[in-house]
Amino acid sequence: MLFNSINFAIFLPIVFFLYWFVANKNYKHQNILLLVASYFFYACWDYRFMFLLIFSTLLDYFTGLKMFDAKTSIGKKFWFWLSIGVNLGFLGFFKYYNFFAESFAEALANFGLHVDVWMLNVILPVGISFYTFHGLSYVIDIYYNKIKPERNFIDYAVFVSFFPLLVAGPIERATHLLPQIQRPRKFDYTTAIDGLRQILWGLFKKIVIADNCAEYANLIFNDSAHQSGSNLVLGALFFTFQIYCDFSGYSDIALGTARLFGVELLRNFAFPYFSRDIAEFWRRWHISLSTWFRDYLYIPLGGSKGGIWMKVRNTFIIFLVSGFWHGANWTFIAWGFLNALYFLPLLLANKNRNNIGIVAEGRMLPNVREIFSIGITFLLTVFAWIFFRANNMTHALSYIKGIFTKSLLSMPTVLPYSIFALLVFFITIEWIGREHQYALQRFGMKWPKFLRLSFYYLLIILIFAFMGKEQEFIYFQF
Amino acid sequence: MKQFLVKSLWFLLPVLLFFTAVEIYIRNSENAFITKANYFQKNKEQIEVLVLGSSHNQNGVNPKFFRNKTANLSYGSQDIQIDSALFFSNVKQMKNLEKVVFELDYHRLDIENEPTFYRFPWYYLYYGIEVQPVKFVNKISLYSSNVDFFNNIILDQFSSNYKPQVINEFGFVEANYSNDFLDLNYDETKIEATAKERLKSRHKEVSDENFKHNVSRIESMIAYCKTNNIELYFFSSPLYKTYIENKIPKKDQKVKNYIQQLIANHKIHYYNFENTSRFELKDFSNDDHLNAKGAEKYTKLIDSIIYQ
Repeated sequence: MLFNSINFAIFLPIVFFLYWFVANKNYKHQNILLLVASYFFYACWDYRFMFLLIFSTLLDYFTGLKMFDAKTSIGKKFWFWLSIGVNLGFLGFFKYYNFFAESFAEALANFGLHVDVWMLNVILPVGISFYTFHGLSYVIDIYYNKIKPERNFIDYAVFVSFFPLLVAGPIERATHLLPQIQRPRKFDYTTAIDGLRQILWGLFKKIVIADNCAEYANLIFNDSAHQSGSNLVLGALFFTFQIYCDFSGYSDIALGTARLFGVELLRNFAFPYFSRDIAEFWRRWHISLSTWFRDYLYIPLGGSKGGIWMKVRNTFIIFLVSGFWHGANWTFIAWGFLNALYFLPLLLANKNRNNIGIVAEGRMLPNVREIFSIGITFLLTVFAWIFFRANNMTHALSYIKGIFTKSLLSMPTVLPYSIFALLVFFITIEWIGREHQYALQRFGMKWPKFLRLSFYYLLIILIFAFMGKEQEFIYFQF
Repeated sequence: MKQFLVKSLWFLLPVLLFFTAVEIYIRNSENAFITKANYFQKNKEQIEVLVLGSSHNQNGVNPKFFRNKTANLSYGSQDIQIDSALFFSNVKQMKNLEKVVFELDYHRLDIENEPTFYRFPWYYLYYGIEVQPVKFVNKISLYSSNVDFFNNIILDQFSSNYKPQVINEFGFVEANYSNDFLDLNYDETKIEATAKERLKSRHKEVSDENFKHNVSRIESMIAYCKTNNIELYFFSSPLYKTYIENKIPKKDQKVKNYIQQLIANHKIHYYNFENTSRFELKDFSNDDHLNAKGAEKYTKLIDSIIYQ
């Protein structure tokens, strides 16, 4: 069930009604309802993988309790590594088996040894990377005594499978989400209205911007060998907006939906394309994943505490792992590596925390220096997305080679003016709203009510006008 | 909460009204699918000839030119699984049915629509057949089956240069204002020069599995017709030479072999008009579809054969 589908438009009000009008006497009943609704939501994708979700939930629930109750440190370690091993084992099997098998065979072939590796026809269970990371953070936090295990299985299962975040995040932390599940939620009018507004903005980003950009990005990437340099640049730009609006649109719908149920999820995006350097970009892009890697990989590896080489090593490790998390393909690893390279000069010059605040805060327009740094950062990002979108390394390299030809200066032949107009409209609203949680949050609040509502209807009309392609969210594959 | 519900409902009311209006509009606007379905449901018991097939028969067979009451249930992209479902779900109620005209063209045996084919809900809504599971939402809303498709149709209808199709009572489109050959001014040289590009991905599917399924569906129909004294006629539709030249030879041979086998094993009535001089360039709307003029010729030909 996609967030941008009519099925979800029916599912959500039903669950909302039952949650606030039928199960509202006791928050435990609400939790049971959320769990049933979440499992139903997941089963709509593929009921066969329900067992995996339930198994993963049971595993982390029991190992959490066993770890906490263990009398000896060996016992604690046993349960800890059992959970880590099984979780990563499942993730590795479903997501990476074929990649490793194929890479192994290719490596042997380089030495003249030809082996027939066993390739499996494995379907990637939707959301596995997300719910596995939920579970891992929970188990790791218990192991390091940051939290106590949750004894109520229903509460824990809701934490893992709460339907707004189940298939593509944000990757929640037990310290943030579990306390909200363990206590009664009160309906708040302002929060709920804000949630609906965020859903509207998310749908606009996904259906109007991302799906339209996808059409042209696919057209150009799928036929890149026959495209001019200028078309290839446009293709990369379309993909840049596609992936941002696709994923941040999903996150907006997830956050907005959770708010309707009185739950606040972690923010996942903070206008990353207005970043002034790559370090800032990574503080604003897929925040829940970046902070996950920071807390559970970068810091345990020593973080920035050691010498400069330790910092460099750890930075490369988290970027490479982050790339690999996105998928079993060398292109994702190259994308991670490239971002690590971008990050390196800032790290060495100790300038990776220069741009912490909001760009041009309190001002309508950025200054020349800000425009320049935003432009450079944006171009670097666009370049890196080529690796992310390409089918394989050969495709990525030939795509880049195709850009740097004489035809780069030719007039592009793919010129969808209506999409350009929509992009300008979108970027303007994003810029105006950049000081808030999401662009539409305070947009038009000072306008007369009639005008503001008309603007919302305009967004709805655009959504309906472009609806129908129902493209899947890119991050479902991760 | 009360305030939230009241305000949300007021806000959503125009959206719901819009949705309802669109649904009513598309269900009531004239189109070939619905007209054909309505004609069939109304006259089911009197129908003597039933025509099944894909867009080749949809555009090539005009029931108006049959001497007896005929329904043409062929639609664009209709595969043999839908033909078979339409046949078996209705045949018992078609008390006067004597003859079935079945399109056995080169492309048909290797294809089977994906379960997500957007017209499955239409067949559910207008013929009551559920060839593949239809989502609940599509069972109640035609618009939701392909929002993009209907948006384009509605936008087209409201554009200033819109010319409506002329659809007769049988759901056959007698006048269509745009087609490939007309756009090329029926210039033979241009048509031939652009054929490769136009046909590069047309009917290139090859699937032994689909072939096997379709063969079994055809054989079930043959068996049923034999036991119930219904005459089943197989036709290969007229095609323009550019289409024939761009066929995949191996696939073509496979289909021909199968037809030979059918004739030998079941003694079926089979007529091949694929490559006949009876049809000229101006009878076609594109490489593999007849226009209304061509359809008149082809229908009269079929009529004369089945009543000879």
